[in-house]
Amino acid sequence: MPRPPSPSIPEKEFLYGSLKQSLRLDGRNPLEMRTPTLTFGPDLGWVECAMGKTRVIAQVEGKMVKPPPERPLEGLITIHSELSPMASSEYESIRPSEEEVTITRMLDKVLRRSDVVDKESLCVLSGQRVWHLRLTIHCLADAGNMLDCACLAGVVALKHFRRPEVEVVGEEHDPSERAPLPLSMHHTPFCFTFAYFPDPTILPVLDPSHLEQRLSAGLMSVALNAQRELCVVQKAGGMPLDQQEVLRIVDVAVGKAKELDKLVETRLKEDWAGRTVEVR
Amino acid sequence: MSSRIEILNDGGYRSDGRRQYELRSIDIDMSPQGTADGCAVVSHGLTQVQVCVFGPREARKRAETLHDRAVLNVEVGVLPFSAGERRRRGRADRRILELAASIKSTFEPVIQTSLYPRSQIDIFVSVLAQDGGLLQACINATSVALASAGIALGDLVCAVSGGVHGTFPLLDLSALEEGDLPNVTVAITPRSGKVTLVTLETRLHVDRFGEVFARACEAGRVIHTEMRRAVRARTSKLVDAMGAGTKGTGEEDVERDVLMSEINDF
Amino acid sequence: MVEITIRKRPRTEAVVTQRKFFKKTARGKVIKVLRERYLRDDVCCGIHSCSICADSASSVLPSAGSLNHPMFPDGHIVLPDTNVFLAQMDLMESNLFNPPMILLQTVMEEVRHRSLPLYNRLKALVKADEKTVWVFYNEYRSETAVIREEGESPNDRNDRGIRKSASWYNTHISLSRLPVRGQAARPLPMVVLLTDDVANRQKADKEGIQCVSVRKYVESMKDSGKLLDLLSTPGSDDVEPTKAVAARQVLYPDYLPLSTLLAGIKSGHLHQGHFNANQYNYLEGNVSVSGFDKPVLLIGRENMNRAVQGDIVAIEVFDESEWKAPADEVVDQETTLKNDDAEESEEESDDKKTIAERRVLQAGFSKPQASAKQPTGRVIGIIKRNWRSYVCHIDSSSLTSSNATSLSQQTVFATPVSRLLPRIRLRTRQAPTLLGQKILVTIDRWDRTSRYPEGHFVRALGNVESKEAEQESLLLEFDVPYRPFGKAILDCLPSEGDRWVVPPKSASSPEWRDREDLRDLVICSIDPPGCQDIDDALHARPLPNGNIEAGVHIADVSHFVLPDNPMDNEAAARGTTVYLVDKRIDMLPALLGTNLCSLRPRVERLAFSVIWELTPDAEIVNVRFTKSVIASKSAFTYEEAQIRKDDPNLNDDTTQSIRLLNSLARKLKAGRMAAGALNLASPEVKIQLDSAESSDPIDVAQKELRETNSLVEEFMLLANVSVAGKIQGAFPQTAVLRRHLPPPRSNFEKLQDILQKRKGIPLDVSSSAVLAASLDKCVDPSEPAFNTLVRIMATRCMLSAEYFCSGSVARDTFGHYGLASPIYTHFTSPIRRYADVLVHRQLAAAISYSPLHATLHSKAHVERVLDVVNRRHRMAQMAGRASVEFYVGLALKARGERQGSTEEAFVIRTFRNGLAVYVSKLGIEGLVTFKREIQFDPDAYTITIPSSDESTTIAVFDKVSVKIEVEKDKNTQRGRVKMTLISPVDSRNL
Repeated sequence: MPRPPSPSIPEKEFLYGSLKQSLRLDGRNPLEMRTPTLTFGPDLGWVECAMGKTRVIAQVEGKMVKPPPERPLEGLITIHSELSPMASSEYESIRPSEEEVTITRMLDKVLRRSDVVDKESLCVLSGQRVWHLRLTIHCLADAGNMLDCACLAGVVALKHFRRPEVEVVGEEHDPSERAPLPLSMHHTPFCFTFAYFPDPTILPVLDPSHLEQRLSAGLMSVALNAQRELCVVQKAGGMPLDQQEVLRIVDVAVGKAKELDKLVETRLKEDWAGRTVEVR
Repeated sequence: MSSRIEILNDGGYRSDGRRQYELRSIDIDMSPQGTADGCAVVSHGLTQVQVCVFGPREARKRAETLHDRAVLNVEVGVLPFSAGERRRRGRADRRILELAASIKSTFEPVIQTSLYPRSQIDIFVSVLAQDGGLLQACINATSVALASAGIALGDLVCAVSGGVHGTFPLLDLSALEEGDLPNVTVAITPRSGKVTLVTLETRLHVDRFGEVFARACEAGRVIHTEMRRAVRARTSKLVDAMGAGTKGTGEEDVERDVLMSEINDF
Repeated sequence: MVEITIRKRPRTEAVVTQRKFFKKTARGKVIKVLRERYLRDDVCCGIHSCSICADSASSVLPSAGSLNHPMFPDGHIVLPDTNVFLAQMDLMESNLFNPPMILLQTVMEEVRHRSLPLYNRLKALVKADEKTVWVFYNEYRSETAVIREEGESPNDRNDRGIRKSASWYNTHISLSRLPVRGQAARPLPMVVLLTDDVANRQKADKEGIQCVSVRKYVESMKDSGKLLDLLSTPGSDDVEPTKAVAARQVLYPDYLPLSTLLAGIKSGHLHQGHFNANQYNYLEGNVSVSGFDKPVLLIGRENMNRAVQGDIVAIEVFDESEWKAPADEVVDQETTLKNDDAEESEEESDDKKTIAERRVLQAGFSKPQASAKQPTGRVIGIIKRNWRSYVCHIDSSSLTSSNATSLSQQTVFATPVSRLLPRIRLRTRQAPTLLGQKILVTIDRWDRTSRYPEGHFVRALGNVESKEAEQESLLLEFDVPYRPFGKAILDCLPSEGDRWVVPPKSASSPEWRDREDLRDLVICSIDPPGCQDIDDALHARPLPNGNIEAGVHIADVSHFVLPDNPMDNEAAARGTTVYLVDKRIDMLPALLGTNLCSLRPRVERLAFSVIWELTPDAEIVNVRFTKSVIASKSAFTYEEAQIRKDDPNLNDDTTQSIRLLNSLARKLKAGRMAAGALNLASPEVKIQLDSAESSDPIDVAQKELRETNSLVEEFMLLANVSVAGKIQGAFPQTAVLRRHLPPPRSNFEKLQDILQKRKGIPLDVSSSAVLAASLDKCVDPSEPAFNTLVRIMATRCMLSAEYFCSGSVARDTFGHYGLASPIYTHFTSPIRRYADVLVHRQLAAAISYSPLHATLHSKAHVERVLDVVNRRHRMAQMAGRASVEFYVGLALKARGERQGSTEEAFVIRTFRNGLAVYVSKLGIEGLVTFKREIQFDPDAYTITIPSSDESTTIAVFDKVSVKIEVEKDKNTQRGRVKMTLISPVDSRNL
């Protein structure tokens, strides 16, 4: 399968030229991100997240399973990411490309390994019944920075999700006619991706667009929560940066995380206000 | 069991007798292996990684060559008996693919690829034994192997892992420590002093991050000294073996190298 | 800036520096683990001004050692081995025992491995100011590191390491102080190995290391007398080495299969009942079974055999010769087992615990048994577990690492808030963050090999003592369902919402079908202030024939709550509305409870009315039941009604009606009392909240009772009795009734005995009437509160009232003992009690208003529902009480700040090592324990506190004054009321 053509030379030069003057093609400031729009579906745990033209759907569902014997006390969380060629020609349907590996691994690190959901609270009866949460992330369109968008969608879906309450009575357990419970979450991480360019005088930009991403000399992703806890810092090679520059980018992300956290909380609250809890 | 071991005890010792900022014993072996153009076996304590470099050579697949530079191909294999538990990892294991991708993108800007257009450089990494610091060992071994293959490098890349226990940063974590602490791996290019790779995969407060990050960058230079010593020892040995006639020039080369690096380092 | 260096490890050293071992994973796989260590020469010996060790600035050991011990005139430093710390920690902690000491890393690690609590004590010891302890990291020093040899046990290896270090120290000292020419060689201090292990001593002697046993060392010390007391005596001189962990010891007998149990119960040689733990003594529990008057006693862990509070167990009763009496000592789990280890990999420490526990148990029985014996038995099987989630705290001393960044899974103890539950072993990754929080823990299993039940963390409720966490934990602890009502439930409400009104009267309207129009009657309601769910209203008027018509009107909840819809099911599951000090958890959605069903004044409401025709002497001429529509004229508080009644200037209809009701009520009450109703006291206190928002309690006061309280009460009782008779007549098989069984006489035995012995007052309990009279005579002229106290204690001897299905029990057990009524039910509060809703439905069917729903024809269904309601009812009462207790605690804190407050209290029980007291002013009970030996006379119910000049005797019913403080338990963060005796003696130093 042929690789997608790289951007043309005039395109490249125009982009570099304008970035040098701290101008971006879509009119944003270098450290400004596209404001995400969150749309909630009729089901709890169904979220569509759009950043500009990049769109992702995330959905959570839960069922009860028998836990694996080595972890009888913890629930399970699996993440399925669907990156089809529909989203962008960079994703192939047969073999996972490098970008795809990076995105799925990052999602795994941000949403699962950083302990977002309290897995111990998903245990109903140890060794017998635990909740298995399945987070499906569907990428609809990639117009740059798919990773941040997918992470945001995933995290919001988890926050939006409610699981049915299960009561353990003696040795039995039964789902009761109660209002479903939100997941017990340790924190809410957000991912921020910065792109930097071959020319060291060009400052890195936050939330790169598709073209910026293609022409960048490297990406650095920082995932963290509003409590200033880093979850993932990922700068796998690419252009070397100064030590100070790395710390500066982390600092920028700290500020952005707080803003985004506020936005997400407001949106969730708005949605919750317009919803009556459905009981099975 | 593991929770019974103190990571850092009151006397300031870690579980293996090191202090906070002491790195594990590093061992660099550059003796040739088979037909590889460059080779290195690097061990950090009980973690051991072997890297063989082939190339620059003609690409296997014509379609993948680039007209203006060389293509890098990195493949990582983890031996099933490398860790305590025997476990076979498939090639398509995402963790291994990611490791390979990290190595690739770390070295792409360091190797002067534009000197070798329409060719391919193959880097084969095999993990022989694991006791923490896998990524750092892979990167360091690749660095040395590329140097021994005589491929033009902008710089060596030196990687070190670090962790935080409470408020105390620790360097070069063993598997035991890695399992219990938030950990960071940092790779630097010592000549420019810049950072080429940072990975953090566990939760860590921003304030703590800065400190361990800075320490790891410093430790990268220590690794660099060690690496340079190994490369130079190997080179002078080769030069010696090539005969007495060139001996004088060989020594001169070494001198110049020291001079250059001193200028560049500080 | 600290230098970053590489620790070089020569390849040749690999033999010493690498350690290989095999480990079994949770899944049962065996994996190989290879670890390395780095040996160094810069580990400091810790001796002051040592010429060899470079970094001796922080050294603590005096260079000449200690010169105070007669055995070692040249100065010495002790080097104890592991067993010394395991067995003699009390000695080591003593202030009198402070020779300079070298603590080896090997020793520390071994202690840590054996027992974490001991390890924590050891760590504190190292930091203590008065001790001179140097921790020597011998495993990292190249000369002293040892590796395990082929066929050597870990214990032997450690002992060898300890000996090696001891001999190294002696060489090191001699090397560092080479004799200077021209000067006489100074005597060198000696490092002395302190060990109780005979084999180790022999080996050390052979290697030429000075060593001595602890006893010998202490005996020859200057002030050995005091220290020798602290010396614990292990079974033999040498302590058993660690056994292999492979075979885990079976600690409990196996359960019998269920079929055997059921067959045994049927045949009568086994018994079945609920397991009740003893809140004062965690090693004791009892089970009430039908075969015996007294509950069957279970003593000791093996006999309780993993039963947890509330489980239905099958027990076997021992021969009468083995019957025992309950222990009379307060045994606190936390203090007895404070050195217990959560990880529990060694059995040896288990044995010790068992010994400790056995000692406690034996202490209780060593004396002649004067008090009566009780049937005693053991649990041999579990019929049904009643495990649920429990509110707990993490025991901080069981944590291996309190480091917040630690990601490893730890095994810790969770201590339940309820004293009735055992500690739960818990594996969690978040232990450090959970410290100081209330958490929810579920028990998963309790294996035969495990001393404690194992559970898992469910969720955190919040910080200890934050109101939200305490409130939620209360609700959870008493299993009160408190989640918001779901949509399906809310859909069952009238669609008009709060705009719903009684439709205008018309024949076609379904609301008006068969309903009486009582809107013109002068009806009023009397409730406590702030009451929103008004479910009853009253009226009375004289009839032309000289009799009086009186009516009780109850909110017609069954009109809104239809059988077997989601709202009905939820209400049945909730059983009752729960009242906490600062929160009400409704049984029905608020729209019904506080609006549509609430009989608010000047609003038309649907009601279910009971209307009597009474003679002026309150004899019932005639009673009828009808659905009705009423319009209450006014809603009074008890106080307002009282004032109105007593105000001679008021003569309106409402006031007249209240007066009429009151006169009837007095006669009704007199009649009831004559029939033998008991006037029992239950301690009720009222919390005055500062304001609605902050809900900080400002004070605690006893609840006041007025005449009008009794007015309402009498009519409600009358209505309940009348309804009970009606539905029992209509549905003899399934009527929902309430009964109060007469207490077995044996329940009163103790109280009778105490009263007789202490006060010389006899208590006759042969019937409720006699008891009532007898209680009236229990007065102490000098102490007005004494009567109330006796009533409280008598109440505790009784059984609790319960709902039952009339077809399920014998007709002669229907009676209500406390009210002295042959039949009784609950009809008057359908908004907050589910049983009343059922009664409403049955009554409606009994008067042919509506057909009876099929479920109410089924005895099994009614029984099942009532079981739940009974349980919820009990739980709600306890939750309410606990809530009051929590606020009393807060109020005490607010009132007393730091110094606590002093209150008068009565002794209600004596123990071998303490007193239980009741503070009537606050309505709380507390425990005063004595650390020092006291004399206890179980027959006379006294304790005697000896003191140098004069000993003091305290008996049950004595008035004492206690200091009440709220203190936080260090380990569990559990805030608890602590009481200490102030007078007659000050117990603070006891």
